[in-house]
Order: sequence, then structure tokens, then C-alpha cells
Amino acid sequence: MGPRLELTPCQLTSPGSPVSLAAECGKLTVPEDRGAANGRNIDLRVAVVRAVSRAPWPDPLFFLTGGPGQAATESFVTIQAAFRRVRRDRDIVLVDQRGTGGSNPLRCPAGDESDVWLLDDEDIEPWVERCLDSLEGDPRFYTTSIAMRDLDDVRRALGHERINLYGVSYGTRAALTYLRLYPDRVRSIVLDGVVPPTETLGIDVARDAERALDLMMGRCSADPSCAKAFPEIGKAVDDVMARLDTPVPISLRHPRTGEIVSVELDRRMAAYAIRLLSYSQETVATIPLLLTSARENDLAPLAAQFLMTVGGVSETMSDAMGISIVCTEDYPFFEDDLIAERSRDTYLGAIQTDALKLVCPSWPRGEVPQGFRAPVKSSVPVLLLSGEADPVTPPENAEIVHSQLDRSLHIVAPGQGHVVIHRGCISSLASNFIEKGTFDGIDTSCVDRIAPRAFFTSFAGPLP
Amino acid sequence: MKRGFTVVFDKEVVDNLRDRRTLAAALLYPFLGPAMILLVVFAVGQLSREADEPLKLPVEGGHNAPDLIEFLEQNNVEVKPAPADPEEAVRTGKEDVVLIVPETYGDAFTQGQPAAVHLVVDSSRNEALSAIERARTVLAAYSGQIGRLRLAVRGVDPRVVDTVAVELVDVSTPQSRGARILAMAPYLILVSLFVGGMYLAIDSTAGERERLSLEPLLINPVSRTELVLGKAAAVFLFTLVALLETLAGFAIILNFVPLEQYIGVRMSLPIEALFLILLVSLPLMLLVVGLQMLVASYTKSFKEAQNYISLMLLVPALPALIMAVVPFQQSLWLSLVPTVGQQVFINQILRAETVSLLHLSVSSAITLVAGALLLRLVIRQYEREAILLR
Repeated sequence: MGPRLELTPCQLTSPGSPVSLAAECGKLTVPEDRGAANGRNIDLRVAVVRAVSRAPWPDPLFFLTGGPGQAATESFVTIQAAFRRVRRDRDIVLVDQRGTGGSNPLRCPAGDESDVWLLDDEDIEPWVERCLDSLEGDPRFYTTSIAMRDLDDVRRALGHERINLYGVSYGTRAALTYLRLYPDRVRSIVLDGVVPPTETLGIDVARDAERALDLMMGRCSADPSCAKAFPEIGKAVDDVMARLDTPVPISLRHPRTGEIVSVELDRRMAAYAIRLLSYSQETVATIPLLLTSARENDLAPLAAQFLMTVGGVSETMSDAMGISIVCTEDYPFFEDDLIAERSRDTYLGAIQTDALKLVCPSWPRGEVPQGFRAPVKSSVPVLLLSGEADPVTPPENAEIVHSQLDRSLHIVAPGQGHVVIHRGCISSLASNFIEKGTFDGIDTSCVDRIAPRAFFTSFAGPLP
Repeated sequence: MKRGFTVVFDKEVVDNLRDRRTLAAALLYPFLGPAMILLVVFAVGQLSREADEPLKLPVEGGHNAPDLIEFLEQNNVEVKPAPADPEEAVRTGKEDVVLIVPETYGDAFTQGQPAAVHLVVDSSRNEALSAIERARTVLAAYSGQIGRLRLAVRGVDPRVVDTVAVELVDVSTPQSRGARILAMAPYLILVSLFVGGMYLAIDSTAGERERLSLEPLLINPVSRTELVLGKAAAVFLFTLVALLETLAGFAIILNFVPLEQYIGVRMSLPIEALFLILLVSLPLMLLVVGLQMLVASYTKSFKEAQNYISLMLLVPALPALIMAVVPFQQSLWLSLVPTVGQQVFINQILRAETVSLLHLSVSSAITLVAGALLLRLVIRQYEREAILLR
């Protein structure tokens, strides 16, 4: 007899998105500390998006979202269209991972105009202190392994024998962890933007972002219209960053409020903006224009990009939950010389790792089970998806996992950034795979037809 | 009394089982309703399946807007050469929609002006509507994407143009969404009830008179009341059979045909709902039987009766027609009107809503009384010798 999970109709929404989705929601109570018999309990928010079919397959799809820190019940809403076909025959189960969304969220907003990673060094320690004081929950218990035990409790409470998994970004680590813990419970897995268990999250951020930017510049130089509009694109980043070594005071209209604001634009802020712009092909299309105009002395558009992106991310993230994960599972493996090597000659540098080095030592650290970082061995079929120009989970990540699994297929979407399930024919390939539970007869040639958007060559857009 | 009634009832049932027309009306017609719903569902499904296929879009002057064309191709549109005379091709239905990109497009686009493209359509051709809609949607997506990026590179957050974010809180259930497609069902159920006993009602009254077999029948030592009730019971039986068939048809379609494959909505008709619909229909059946027999007892010939009674098929259609145009809320006074009330109730049952017991009982009582009054009138009619003379 497992724990009870009662579902009632509900409407799922996502901050900043006008779409909503009808589902059935419930709460599953689990112990915060699974080792303690009479400890504090927390409620997990669970939502089931029902299959359209009258006779759905008994194995639903569990959706594991990224971050770490996003809420599955929110982020699924914005990407639901890619799962239309899966939903025809299968329920889709969304569980807000503990510490996110409606599952005892751990959040410490650093403010509208800032983000933890952008705090000045001397401000970080007070922030950590304030944050830990305000948290309702013990960060040591908000790890991936514990969350996946929660997930299996949900599976049991819903009465499913086996399940399919879709994991995106950090959610791929979660999915592989679930597979490791419950190998017999998994029928198939789709991993989109892969984080290999053997790799340390965060250590390669600068290198991967640099790679995506290089690909972007190479593509621009190879494209006659882009090369003509921005003949010196190759030097643009270096020049802009060099210039911003000394912060430049800029006065501009705030992108949202329209009020005139003053910003001291420095290289960290510029790097932050460029990195976020590299996530999707649509915004990548504007990078050469923004960099070139910054290089030609108009820094306002770049500063505006920073202002636009900085508030938006923290809106959907439970930052303290993300920090708990990274400080427990990745920070112990930070090696200074490795970080130095991986961030050398990159526009991002060691910004993020440096911030973590200030945060993690005083952050309560949980336990990581033995073998957590070993390659996952399994014969469950795994479909691996990568964007060719992904700035955080490059295709080589998926290649590592591909080489460790018995049955896997890796698809790389040409010119795309982070998360590709909704690009071109990929959602139909993935649906097909989930339907069959095997790669047999899946023709991936349609992926070649996917192409990135043309670069903006002027403020009017790309060439018509 | 009992014997006379039974004899008449048996005679009418047996006689009419031999009559092809009565049999066809009672046995075949009731399946038409469910069959029609099935057709509608398949047609709707066909449209949504087309939406998964690439949209084939003929484009003239595509070289004026290569980036737009690239966007279309990345978004499930198959661009093909335009016909020589696009307007003619659309007018004659050779093409559903043609996109024309004029020479001026590029200049306007680079100037940041709205760049015009022409979409040649014939909005009066229903079969082209889905293609037109898809073409407009994908063009709007391109326009929106470029527009938002234009704002972003100028340092304006594109979200400022979304002044009001309308979040739809859709409280429909799969069952109620399905019921939209079933909107015709209450009407079809009532029509089967009007048709089921129609020929028998005509044949046993106007028909008998025309064949001059009514007079010998009236000479028999059977009271007029028994005679009428016997005939009415036979008509009632045929009506009931027709209704049961229609309900069985709907039950099969909703519970066993995988409709969701076509319309993306799950539906079901549980056995309790079937019984409830039957219960709602029973009083109405009495009314219909009474009405049909009364009309038939006033008419001279089979043909004449048929004409009038066929017209009565419009009776259940009226509320359905009005409901389709002016959707009104269930209210007490409405459920008092026979046929309207029943349609409202059946609709509610199909949508898996709770039916107001008060409304249902008042409506049923009124319908029953009206039915009984009509039968009383028929008996009165038979008690006059004039019944033979008409």
C-alpha cells in the first residue's frame, strides 16, 4: 500500500506565457529526510495531463525539466505542442521536483535587476546568509537522487508498472539517475540537451559557450550577406570584452519600463547577455548585429539585452534549489586547474565557477550515493537529442552517454541551440520512438532539413 | 377490456411487421442519426490530419523574399511554383491559395516599413478555408518573429507589446468538448422517436379507413377505448424500438469507435446515461403517439396523413434550430415545453452534467398530461360515427 495521491482537475500555467493546459493535479506527501522516521514532511505537486485516447497505454511519459530549479508543471506548458502526439496515447506526468514550483520551493530572489551570479564578490556571503535563514527546508535533502526516489513514489502512487522518461538539460541527469536507481521501471528515455553523469555541471560552461559563439561566427563568415555586413565579426567579441574591462557608464531607456536608467556595463554583464542570447537560433540571429554595434561604440543595445534577460530567468527558477544541487553534486569536483584550463581564452571566463566557489563552502551539502557519477549501464533504449550550437550541453555530451549505453541513438539538429524537441521533425521522430519503444524503422534523414534562422544584417532584420 | 386491448395490439403489431414501409421506418431510420454523427466526426478528423501534412503553397515572386521562403520551408510549408494566372487558378479551384511577393517587398522590408505580400484566396470556397488559415498563420508567425527581434535589437523588450496576457481558464471537460460535436444528437434522438411509429400510426387509422377495413373492425365487440389504446400501444412499441436502436447506435459509436483518433477528444456514453435518456424520452413518446394518431384520425387517406405527420418532424427541429443560433440556459419555463425540455435534458446528459430533478419531473409530468389528453381526444374521435365518414 503506497501513499495516497488524489487528483482533481486543474489548469496549468507558466509565468509570462498566455497558454494554459487542463490537467489533473494532486499532492503527494513525502518525508523531507528519507532517513528520518518522524521528520518534517513536504508536499510534491503532481500533475497528470491525460491522454486523449480512451484506452491509453499503461506506461505514461514522465517529464523532467531543467535548471536545476525549474518547475515541471510550469515549463511543460510552454513546450506542450511538441508532445501532442505522445499525448494521444499516453498520460504525461509532471512532478515538480522537490524545491521547485509547488513542491516546497527554495527561492532567494537576488532582486529584479540582478542574479546571484552577478552579485559582487563581497555581496555574495551576506546573500548566502540571508538566503539560508529564509529557507523553509534543509538544502541537504534536495538532491537529484532523493528527488528520483520521490519520482518513483509518484509512479507507485499512480499505479504504473513502467514509465517512459523525457529529460531536458539538467532533467537528463535526473532521468539517468532514475534509470540507475530503478532500471526495471523504465521502458524508454528521450534526453534533450544531455548532461552526462560523469561530467561536472558548471565546469565547462565557459568552454561550451565559447564553442557556440565560435560556431555562430563561423556561420556568419561563411554566409555572404552576414560576412558583408559584419566583415570583422571574428574580432567583435574580443574587442567588446576588452573595452568593457573598465566598466562603461551608459544611460538608456529601460527595455520594459521605458524609463531612463543608468548602467555600468562591464564584461560580466555583457558575457551574461551574449550567453543567454546563444540559447536559441532566433536570438542567435541578432548576436552579430549587437556585437558589431557595441564594437562601433553603441553599447546601449547590448546593455538593454542584459536588462531584458536578467529579470526573466529568476522568474522561473528556484535558485536556492539549483544551488543545493550544484553545491552537492558538482562543486566537490571543481578542480581549480581544470577550471582555469577550460575557461582560458573564453569570453565568459570563470564568472560562474568563481561565484560558486564563494557560495558552496557555506552551503549545507547533502550526500551523494556511491556510483552516482559512474557511467550508466543499461539496455533501455535511449534517444539522445542535441543542438549543434548548444551553448550549455553540446553534442559531445550526448556522445559520451551514447558510448556508455547499449542501445542509443544520437540526433544532432543542425545550427540549433539548447532544447530541440520542438524543432522541425524532431518531435515526430521522438513520438515515433516513444510509441514503438525501439529505433527500428526510424528514418532520421528529415533532420538534415532543419536550418537556423538567417542573421540580422541590419536593424530591419535579415536580408528580405 | 384486457382481451380486446391485447387482440388489437397483437393484430397491429403482426400486420405491420409484414409491411415493409413500417418496418423500414422503424428498423432502418434510427441508425441514420448515429451514422450522420460518425460522418461529421470523420470529416472533422480529415481536416485536422491535413494540418499535420505540409501545406503546399504556390508562391509567385519568391525570389523577392528568400528569407521568408526559408522560414516557410522550416515551418511545414512546401513551397511550389505558382500557376501562370494565380487569380484564375484560385477562382476555378485549381489552387486553394497562392502567395504573391511583389517587387516592392524587399525595399519596404529593409526600410522597416510593412512589406506587403498578396495572398490570393477565394473565401467562398469552404474546402480552401483550412489552407487559407494555415497560410495566414505561418505568415503572421514570420511577421511576429521578425517584429519581436526588431524590437529586441533596438533595446525594447518585445513583451511590452503584449499588453494584456489573456490566460484562458478552460473549464470544459473532455466530455463537454465532445458534446459540441454531439450537438445534433438530441435532435436526432427525438426525430427517431417521431419516425419510429409514424407509418404504423398512419396505417392503423387513415390507412384502415382508406382500405375500408376500419368499419368491420369497429363492429367487433371491443370498446373504442380498448381499440384506440391497443393501436396506441402498438405504435408506442415501434417508437420504443426505434429509440432503443438509436441509443444503441450512439452507445456503440461513443464507446467503441476510436473517435479520439479523429477529433482529439475522448467521449463515452455510460449505461446510466443511456437509461436516463430513455427515461427522459418515455413521456414524450406518449405525446408523439397521441399527436400522430390524432392527426391520422382526422385525415381521409394514407397520403394526406403522411403529409401532415411528416410536417410534424419539424416540431423537434425547431428548438434545436433556435438553440444552435441563440444558446439559452436551461430554465424552468423552457423545460415545461415538451420536446424543448427533453432536448435540453438529453444535451445535459450527453455533456455529463447534472440534470435538475425538479425540472425533469415537472417537464415529464406536463408532457405526460399532454400525451394523455391527446389520446383522450383520439378516443373521443373514435367514439363518433363520423370517424368512418371522413
